[in-house]
Amino acid sequence: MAHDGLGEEEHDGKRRDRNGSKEGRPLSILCVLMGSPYESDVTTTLLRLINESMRQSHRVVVWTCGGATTITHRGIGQSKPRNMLDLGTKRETKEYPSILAVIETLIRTSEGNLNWYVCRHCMEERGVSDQIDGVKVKAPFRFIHYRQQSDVTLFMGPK
Amino acid sequence: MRMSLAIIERAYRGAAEEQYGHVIWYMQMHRKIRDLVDVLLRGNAIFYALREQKAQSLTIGGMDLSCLHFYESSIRDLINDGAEVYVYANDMKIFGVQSDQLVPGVRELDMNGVVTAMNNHMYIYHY
Repeated sequence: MAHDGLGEEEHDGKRRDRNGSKEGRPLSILCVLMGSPYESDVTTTLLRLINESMRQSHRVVVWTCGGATTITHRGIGQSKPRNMLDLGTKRETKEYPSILAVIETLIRTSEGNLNWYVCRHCMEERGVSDQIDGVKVKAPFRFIHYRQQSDVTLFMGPK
Repeated sequence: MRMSLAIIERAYRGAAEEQYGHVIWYMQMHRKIRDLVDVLLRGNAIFYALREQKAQSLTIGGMDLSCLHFYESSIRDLINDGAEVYVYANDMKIFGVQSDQLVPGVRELDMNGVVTAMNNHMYIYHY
């Protein structure tokens, strides 16, 4: 059964306001990332979403909660530990960027269109208060404010 | 009696975070330190044993992540190192995976085969 405004209508990728008219302006997107890294591919998916959103000139706010607050902890450093399987091969001196380095690169190349916020409560609970300079620490539930300001909100991952 | 059997069910995790350091790499490292582990793939992890997988890469913010998980080569390396690599046959049926889609050397086990394999190993890991 087709519903009014959905179904067979072809989507042109442009946002519609509540009156149904088309707008071509960039979107404001809030991504709330919850849960621990390494447990699923949610973090990878988020980075791909952000990358594409930047390419399409949208503005993205990331709010990290729970275990996700650990991925911008300064202690991670810029490189992953050495891959011991590379020893004795031509890749012996190869360095692999850490997830922190990837996020810092995204923030640096976003030209101000990416804001990355960290929940203070979750951060302190996990002992990762030493966060990188490119992110801002915010009081818990401040994300409600950003949700109200955004056109699209995505909750990603378990708490 | 073989040493260790790693039953791997949770699949496709942490591509950007882990890059080279996925669970099959971890099994290779186990074997390097003489914990001679064999592998049983179940659930979504059975897809790790497919041949002709495409090596993936990502570019995020202009940074190339070229060493993402490439399970096929790691599975082949495990087999070449003398590991037994099994796939749970019931899950192959559920996902419609055929025997000729598997990396050569990967063996299919039904439930009886799984029980036998577990009894034939001293240690069992579950991921």
